[in-house]
Amino acid sequence: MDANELLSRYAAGETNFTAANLGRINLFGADLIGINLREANLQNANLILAFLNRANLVRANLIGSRLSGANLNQAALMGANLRDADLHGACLQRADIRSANLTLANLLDANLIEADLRNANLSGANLTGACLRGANLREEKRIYCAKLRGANLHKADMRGVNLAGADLARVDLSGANLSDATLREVDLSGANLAYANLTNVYLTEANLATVNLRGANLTNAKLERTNLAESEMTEVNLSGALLSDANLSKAEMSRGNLIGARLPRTDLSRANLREANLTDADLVDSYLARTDLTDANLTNAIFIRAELSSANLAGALMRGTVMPDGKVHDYD
Amino acid sequence: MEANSILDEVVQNLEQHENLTRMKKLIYCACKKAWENDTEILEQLRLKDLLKELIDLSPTIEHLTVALNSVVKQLNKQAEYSLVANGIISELAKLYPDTDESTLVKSNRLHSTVSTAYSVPQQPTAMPPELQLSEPKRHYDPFDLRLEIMKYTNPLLAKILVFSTVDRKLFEFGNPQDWVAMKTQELDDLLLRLFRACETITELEFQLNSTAKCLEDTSQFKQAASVIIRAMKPFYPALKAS
Repeated sequence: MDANELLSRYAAGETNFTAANLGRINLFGADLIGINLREANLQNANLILAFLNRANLVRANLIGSRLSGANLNQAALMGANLRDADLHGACLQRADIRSANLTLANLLDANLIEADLRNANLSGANLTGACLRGANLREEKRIYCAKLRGANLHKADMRGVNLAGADLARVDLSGANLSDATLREVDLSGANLAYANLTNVYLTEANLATVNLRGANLTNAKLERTNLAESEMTEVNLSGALLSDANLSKAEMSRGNLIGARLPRTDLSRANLREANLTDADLVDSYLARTDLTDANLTNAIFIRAELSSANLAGALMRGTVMPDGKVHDYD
Repeated sequence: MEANSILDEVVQNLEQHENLTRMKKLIYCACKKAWENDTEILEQLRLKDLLKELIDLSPTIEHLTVALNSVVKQLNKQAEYSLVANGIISELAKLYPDTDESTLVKSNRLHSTVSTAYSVPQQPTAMPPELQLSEPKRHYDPFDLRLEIMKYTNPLLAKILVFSTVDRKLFEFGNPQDWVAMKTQELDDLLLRLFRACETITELEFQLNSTAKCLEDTSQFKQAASVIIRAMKPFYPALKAS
């Protein structure tokens, strides 16, 4: 079937094109609202700026298709194969994309607001600037969760998104907005979160080993029992963050803002906290073997029962600082 | 007098102008987003049609002033062209009710960095304090702005519209290179460039609407323009020319 035949049959009122063979078809800008293309072959089709709102594309073959600027709002794309598809600036608001294959797809600046992405495979996809507010990526069973391994989510809008348990290893989330997101138990090892907004985020028990958090904003974030060993956190903002029992060994945190951070029982061995601000921080029972606190601001910080004997405190500002033995430094 | 006969009178007056070709070049560039140097093409263009197009795109005399001055700002011969622009503005003011000479001068000073209505200084003149914007443009949250735009318009069309506006080169759907170039752009970077380039909401309105008019499938781009304007309006201070 060619484009003319499809368009004239659709214009005549026919909407059911289940399993049609439409490889390489050119439907640029076509109005096909509500069309049924279930299991159709649309490999390498040109669907740029097409209106496919509420279309049925369940299990359709859309490999390498061009869907730039296409309107797929509320479309059914369950199990569709969109590998290598170009969805640059496409609208997928409230689309059902469950279990679809989007590996290596281009979703630059795409609208994925409230899209259902459970069990979708987004490995290696480009989601730069995409908006995922209210999108569903929630894990239901261990195997039934969105796969984002190696995806590019630079500057993506993921505010309030639930990614609990997701595989985000080596993901680029630099400059992304993840405020209020749930990232409980996620694997973010080797991920790039530089300058990301992570305010109020839940990262409890997440794996953040060797992660890049340079300049990231983690104000009031929940980071209990996280593994942040060897992470890059220069100029990080952890004010008011909760880090009890976290592993911060060898973390690079110079010039960080840790005002009012709660760090009881954390492992800060060999961490670099030069010029960091730890005013009012709670470091009870923390482990600071060879921690570098040179020129740090330790005003009113509490080190009760902390292991501080091999830490470097040269030039540190100690006013009202409570030492491991309970002694309090003067304010002069 | 009805609008048509005033327009005819304006056309008559402007056609006497010694710089008719420059006048056409200026209006053509403001409306079509392209600089035309071909004298033959320029001769064939009717001044009345060009003026009509400019007026259609300019709901107020301020829009018109901004449009012409933004072209002048890009040119080498700024002094010469600002004289031409001022000639057009003071004639067309007749088509806008409630425009007296003083608002004209103010409006022109507010939007022009090169000249005032009735003098041609070689150096940009400092704005008198009472004519300065009452407050600077506000900072905005790029995520909130992008969300607001994505919710109500097509992100790709928004990008094409803004890209064509800030780069002053109209996107061609049939040109594969333009598609490749678009993929190297990010919507929020483009919006920031647009925000920086447009000093006032009036300028933003004119620039987006005139670009939309020049692109294929104008109605979709006009819709995108209206969404972007509505979303960005809160970041511009209200214009108060005391």
